[in-house]
Amino acid sequence: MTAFAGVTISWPALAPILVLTGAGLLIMLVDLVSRATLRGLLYGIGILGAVGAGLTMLPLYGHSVTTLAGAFASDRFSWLFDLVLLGSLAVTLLLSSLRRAEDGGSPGAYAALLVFAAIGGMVMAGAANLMIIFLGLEQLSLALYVLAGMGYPRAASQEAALKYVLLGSLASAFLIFGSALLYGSSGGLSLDAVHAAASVPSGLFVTGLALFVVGIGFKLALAPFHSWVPDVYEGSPLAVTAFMAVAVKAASLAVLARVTYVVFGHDTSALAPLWLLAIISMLVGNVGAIRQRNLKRLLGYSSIAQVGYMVVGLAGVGPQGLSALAFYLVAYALTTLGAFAVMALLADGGEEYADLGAYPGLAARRPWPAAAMALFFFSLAGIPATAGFYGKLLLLAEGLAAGPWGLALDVTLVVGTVVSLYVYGKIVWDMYSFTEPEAVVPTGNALPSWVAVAAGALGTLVLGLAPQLFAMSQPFLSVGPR
Amino acid sequence: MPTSPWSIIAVYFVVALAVAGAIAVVPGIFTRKRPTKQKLEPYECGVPPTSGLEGRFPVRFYLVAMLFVIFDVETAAFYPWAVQLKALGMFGFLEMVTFIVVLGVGYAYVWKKGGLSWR
Repeated sequence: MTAFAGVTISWPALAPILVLTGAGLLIMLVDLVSRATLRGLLYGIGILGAVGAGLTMLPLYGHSVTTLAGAFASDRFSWLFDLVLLGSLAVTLLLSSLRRAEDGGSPGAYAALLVFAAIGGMVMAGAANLMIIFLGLEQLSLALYVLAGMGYPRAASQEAALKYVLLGSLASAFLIFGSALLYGSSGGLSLDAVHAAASVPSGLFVTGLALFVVGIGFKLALAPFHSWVPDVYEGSPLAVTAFMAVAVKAASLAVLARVTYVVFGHDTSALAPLWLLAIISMLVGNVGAIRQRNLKRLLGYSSIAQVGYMVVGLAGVGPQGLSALAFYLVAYALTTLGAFAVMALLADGGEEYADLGAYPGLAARRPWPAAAMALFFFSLAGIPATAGFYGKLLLLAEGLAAGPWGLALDVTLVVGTVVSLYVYGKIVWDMYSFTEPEAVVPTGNALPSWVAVAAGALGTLVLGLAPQLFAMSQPFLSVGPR
Repeated sequence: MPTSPWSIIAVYFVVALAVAGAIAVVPGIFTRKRPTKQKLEPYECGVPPTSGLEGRFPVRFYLVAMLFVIFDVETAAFYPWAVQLKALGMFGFLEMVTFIVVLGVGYAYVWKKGGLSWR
């Protein structure tokens, strides 16, 4: 504990972020002094940084510390989100290693930006103050705008970067304007102050909250604000897309969950528009995925629907809802990173791994990658014995307990799942049928990708077969952030 | 009669909108349109326009502007710190050293990668 100008600083609570910052700076310095392109070393430092930050998180397990004058919380709630962020950072770095097409020939900038993006996400996960939320969001977004364009010679990557920066800055504008109005109506930047203003909502407060939710909705890609997702996901480098699909959503969900919990407590009637967004997302995401011929686009639409599912966990605003959301987030992170890892495994330099025409008959030629991909798709669709199934059960139970809106969310969740069964089932059917592929069959076979695939598959199976392990390892989640 | 001190502002808004709207709309109704080539040209301070609109200029202008903003903000953070140096004490000093180191790494990176050279 250090006290400075009346502000106490708890170093252990900030340690994970500081360790990761050190790793990011080290990557930049190593990149500066080395003459050769040491891709493995640079990514290695990033992965070690993620592991180191994870180790400094261990003493924080189950504790609840608020530091920096209440602006930053390191609690039971941010702990899990931080872990998901660090995990996705490590997997993203694993998937990018050994592939020049990913980083446009500048691995130092690529690895450092990924690390800084993860730090931004961790800041968001612990932010208990409107200003810190914006700070973290901007750090995450600014790094990702550049990363989206890192597949430099490809025109699609530049298109992705431009679309992402234009729509992302629009979303940031919504968010900061909403924050300003919330500040104006509540007289304080901390979420507690906003909570005090929520009991007697003024017009200013409602407008601010609406703008804030729109801003977060853009970042989360909830349905009316999802138009950027397919193009950005298709154009960005593969590993960056994986990071966007998991880390950005985890961090934004952390903000959304903390805002709902702290500001509204147990009365979420003011959040009806949010449930509407979730319902539209589940429908648009699953229906939009049907027509896709590119696997990255398809997973983009799928992620829109998955975020809609996760918002159901907030509908009940109770500790159980949070734990359902957390379980589903972990399941989603494992399966999505796993699916991207299979694509990275198959890739051999070009973009052919994303073409769904390359997947029919895959099981005969590459049995293990095909089996892993089928497992991840089953989990995303929610087939029993996978993590996604139990996650959906938990979310459905939350919806049932949450009144009429919860019921509507539940019905949409089931309808969306049925549609998604067709989407994922068709690909799995194709992979296991004896047809000739329409496109060039990718033949990549990189060890780091194998590691990521194996980790994802193991996690999906363990959480699917023994979900109680999660409840046992996260007992504190049933208490909520405060 | 104004019931609130703010109602005069509302009156001002209405009058301003009415006048501006009238200026914009009324001439369109009553004037005769006799366009000539000169009249249809975009107005450029009375000087005949010299070039098209779709001129391109290099991306390094943006780069310089961005770098300027970064180091400009750095100065903005330095100034209040320098004024309060004694009051902030050793912790404030170390905090600023950390800030400079982080920024210094970024500066060295930009320099080495050729961001400062005008190519």
